[in-house]
Amino acid sequence: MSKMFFSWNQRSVLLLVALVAGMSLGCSPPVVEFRPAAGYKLAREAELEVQLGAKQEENIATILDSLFGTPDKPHVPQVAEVDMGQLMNQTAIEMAAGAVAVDEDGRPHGLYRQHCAHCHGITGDGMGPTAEFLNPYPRDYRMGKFKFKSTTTNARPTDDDLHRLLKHGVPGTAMPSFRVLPQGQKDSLVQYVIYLSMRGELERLLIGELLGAGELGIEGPEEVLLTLADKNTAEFQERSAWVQEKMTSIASSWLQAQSEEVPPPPENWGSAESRQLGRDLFYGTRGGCVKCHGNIALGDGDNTFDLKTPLVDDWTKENWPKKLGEAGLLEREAVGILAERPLRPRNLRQGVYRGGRRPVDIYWRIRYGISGTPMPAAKELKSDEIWYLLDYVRSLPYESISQPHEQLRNLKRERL
Amino acid sequence: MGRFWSLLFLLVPILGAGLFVVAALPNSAPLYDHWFPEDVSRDGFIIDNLFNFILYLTGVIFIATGFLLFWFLWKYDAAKNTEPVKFIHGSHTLEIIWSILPAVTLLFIAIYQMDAWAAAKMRRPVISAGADGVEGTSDDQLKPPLVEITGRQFEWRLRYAGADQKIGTPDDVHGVNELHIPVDEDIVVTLKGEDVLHSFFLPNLRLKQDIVPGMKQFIWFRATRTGAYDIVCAELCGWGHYKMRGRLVIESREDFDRWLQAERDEQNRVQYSPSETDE
Repeated sequence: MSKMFFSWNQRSVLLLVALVAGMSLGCSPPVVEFRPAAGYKLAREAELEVQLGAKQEENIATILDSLFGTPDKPHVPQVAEVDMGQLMNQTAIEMAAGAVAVDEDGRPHGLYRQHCAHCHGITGDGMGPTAEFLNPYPRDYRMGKFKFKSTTTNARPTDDDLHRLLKHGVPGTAMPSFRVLPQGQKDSLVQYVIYLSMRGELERLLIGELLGAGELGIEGPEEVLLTLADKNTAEFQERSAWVQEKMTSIASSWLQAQSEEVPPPPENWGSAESRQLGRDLFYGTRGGCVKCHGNIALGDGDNTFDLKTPLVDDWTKENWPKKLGEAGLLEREAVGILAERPLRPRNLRQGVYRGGRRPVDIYWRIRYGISGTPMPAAKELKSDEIWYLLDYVRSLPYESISQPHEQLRNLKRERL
Repeated sequence: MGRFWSLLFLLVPILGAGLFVVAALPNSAPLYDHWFPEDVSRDGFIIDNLFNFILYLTGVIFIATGFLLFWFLWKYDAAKNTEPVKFIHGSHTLEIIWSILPAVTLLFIAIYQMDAWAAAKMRRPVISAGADGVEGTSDDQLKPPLVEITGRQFEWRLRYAGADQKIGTPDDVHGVNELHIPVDEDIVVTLKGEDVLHSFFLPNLRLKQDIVPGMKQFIWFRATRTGAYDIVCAELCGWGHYKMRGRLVIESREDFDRWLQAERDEQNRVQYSPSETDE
C-alpha cells in the first residue's frame, strides 16, 4: 500500500487535468451540416440503375451551399424573376437558423434548433434524433408536400396554414402548439421551413438530373453539373439557367399558394336530415369513406387489412420501395432511414382533428384530400354533399358508442 | 491545516443563510429578485406562509447546527488538544430530548397545514349548500368546472364547457396552451393526462397539481388581478418537457365572455373566401 502508483497530490493534479480536458472537449460545438437526401438518392438509383458518383454528390452540395448557404450561415437564395422578399427575409432566416443563442439586442437565434430540429432534423428531413420514437413520423419538408392546408391537393400551403399549424399544433401527433411564442419568432420559423423545403426540392431535382434522368443529358457518374472552372462556356450558362429556372418554379409554387374558397353550407346543414344524408355518403360508394375509415369509423376499414398494398404515405413509399432485397434494406438502415410503418386512417370517433376542427378545415380536408397520403380529394362530390358528410363526421364523437366510459357510468347508475 | 477545516465549515451556515438573504432582497445581484413570483390569487398567501414558516424553522436549525459543528471542530482540534479522548456510553435523557423535539415539531407542521390542505383538496366551491343549508355536506351543489385541461406530450389541451356547463358535448370550445379565466371568481378546473405524468403549475397562483393519466382531478382557485402569467409543467415528462409552457390570461368577466365567444365563432367557422386572412 505504501507504494501507490501516484501520490495523493499527483492524483489531484491528474483529476484536475482530466476535468479541464473533459470540460473543454465537451463544450466544443459539433459541426452542423445539411444531410444529403440519401433516401431519394437510393430510390432513384434503384429505379434508373445508375449510381451517383462521389464527385456528383459533392457537386450537389456545392451548388446547394452557394444558393442556400449552410445551417449556421444561411442566406435567402437569389431567384430570377421572383421577389424572394415576399417569401422570406435574411433577418428572419438568421433568427431561425444557427446555434441557439441570444444576441446583444436580446433577440433569440437558433429557434429552429431549439424548437424543431430534434424531430424535423437540421435539414428538415424529418430525421431528427427524436423522430424514430414518434408515430406519425415528423414531416420531411423536402418533397414540398404538406398535409394540413387550405390549398388544392398538390399546391404548397399558405403562410397562414403554416402559422395555424404552429399556433394550434397537430392534435393527436407529437407536434405541439407553439402558441405562446411571439409572432415574430413564429414568422421566422415559417420562413425557415419554406427555406428548407425549397432547398430540399432543388436537391431532389439535382439528384435526378445528375443521375441522367433529366433534360440536360448528363452522362455517367463522372460528369458534374456545374463547376466554376467552366464558367465562361456556353454549357455552363445553359446549365445555370436551368438551375435558375427550377428555382423560379419552386419559388413560384410557394408564392402562388392561395387558400381555396369554402362555399357556405346548405340551409338544412346541422340538422338530423343533413347528418343522415352525410351518413349515406359515408357508407355509399360515392363517398367511399368506409373502405379506410371502417364500418363504424374507427379507422379500421378493409383497406387497412390489405397486406399486399398496405396504406403508406409518399415518404414511406419512396424510402421503402416494394421489392427491396436485403442489400437495399441494409443500405437504407445505414443512412438512418426510419423504419417502415403503415398508416392508420383516422378514428373519427375520438373528436381529434389533426388539421383543425373548424368546419372549414374539415371541408378542405375532404375536398382536397391530404397531400402525400392515401386520403383522396373528393373530386366527385358537390360542395353541399361535402357539407353533409362533414356534418355526419363531426357528430360521430358525440354518439353514445363513442363514449363507452360515459355509457358504463350511466348503466351503473341505473343498476343502483 | 488544523483549524482551517473548522473555518471552512463555518462558511456553510454563513453562505447558506447569505444566499437566501441576497435572493430575497429586491434588486440584488447576482440573484435579481429570485424570490417568489407575484401572487395574484386570493389564497396563495396561505401557501407562502406555510413555506415561510417551514423555511424559518429549518433555517434556524440549519444555522444553529452549522455553528455547533464549527464550534466542536474548533474546540476539539487534534493539534490543540493533547488530553486523551474520553469515551462515554451515552445519555438517555439527551436521546429522549432529540427524539421528542423533532417528533413534536413534525406533528405540529402536520396539523398546522391541515386547513390549507383541506381548502386546496377538499372544499371545492359550491353554487348552493343544498336542501340542508349547510356547506360541506353531501347534498351541496358543487361548482361545475369551467374548463378541462389535458396534459399531453408536450402541450396543454383545453376544453371549455359551453352553455350547457358540461364538458364533452358538441358546444365545447377547444383550445391549447392559452388559458383564459375571469378574475375574482371561483374557478374550478378538471385536470386529466393523456400519456405520462405531468404537473400543472401556476406559479402566480401558488397552485400545483400532479397529473396522472387515467385520473380525473379537480383544482380550484380565485385570481385577484388581471394580466398574463405563466403556465408550466412541473414534472419532468420527457424530452420536450420544456415545451409545455402556456399562458394564463386573467381578465374581467366581460373580456372573458367576449374572448370565449370569439373562439367559439372561429371554431364554428363555415365560410372562407380567399380575400381574408386567418390563423
